[in-house]
Amino acid sequence: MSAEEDTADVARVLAGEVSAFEAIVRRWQSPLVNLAYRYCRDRARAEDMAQEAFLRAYRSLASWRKEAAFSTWLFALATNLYRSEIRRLPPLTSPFEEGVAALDRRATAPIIDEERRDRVIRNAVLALPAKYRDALTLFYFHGMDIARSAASLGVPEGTVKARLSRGRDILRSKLPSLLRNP
Amino acid sequence: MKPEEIDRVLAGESEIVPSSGFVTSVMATVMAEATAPPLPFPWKRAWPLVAGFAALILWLAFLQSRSSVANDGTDLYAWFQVIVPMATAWVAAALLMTVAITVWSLVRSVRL
Repeated sequence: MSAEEDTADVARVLAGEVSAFEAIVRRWQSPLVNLAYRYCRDRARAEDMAQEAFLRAYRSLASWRKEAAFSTWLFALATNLYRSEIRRLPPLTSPFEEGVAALDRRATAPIIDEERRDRVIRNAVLALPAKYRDALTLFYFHGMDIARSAASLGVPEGTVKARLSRGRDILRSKLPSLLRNP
Repeated sequence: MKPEEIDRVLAGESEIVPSSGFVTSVMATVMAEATAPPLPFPWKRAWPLVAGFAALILWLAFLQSRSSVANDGTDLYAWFQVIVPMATAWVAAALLMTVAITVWSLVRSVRL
């Protein structure tokens, strides 16, 4: 994905050529839908959230100062929106303690399907306190890039590192048997 | 559990593909936004506030003119007699406005 293409398309949109926004949507639809999906684990809702993110990006396109990459600005905007959306209408997950207890009981069975186990761990991330959930979600979404995660969250890199460490600790302490290697 | 196990599970998630109509749907919304006429200023709702504010300004100007007359001399007591009601009026107006906005917000939030 080219930063020059983004800059050129944004300039065209700001000059009044609204249809140029389509190229931006095509370029960024997959990342924005996937990021939304990691927050809500619901495909239809992820698309709704991503659509709202694009609409907000369109409305505030003039506020992109070009000091940061367009992608950084877009992800920060989308992350803010997704966090508010999830706060407003949380995804259908059990409270952390309750869900973990149930999962651990199931995990005592000798064989647990790996795919199901992975799904359970991903859902457990959603049940973490928001600041740890956000750090873990953004960190793995951005291919374990601390700097990009920090930019999306609008916090210093050190804060992201601390939240990642604490978030992982909570996961490890709450899902010990589930996360044990077979 | 090893840290790399968490990394493997959370980083190794497969991506979902947006539906085929996603771009069309987003662009339809964006076009609707772009072509919609700008929202008119809500004068019907705003005029009582504007009128009230104008009345307040006029009243304060009237008090101010009285204070200029009173300030012709060096009588500090006379000056206080004018400035104290003026300050009281400002505080009372601010309080009234705060109460009115709070009530309005509560009513709106209950309706939503």
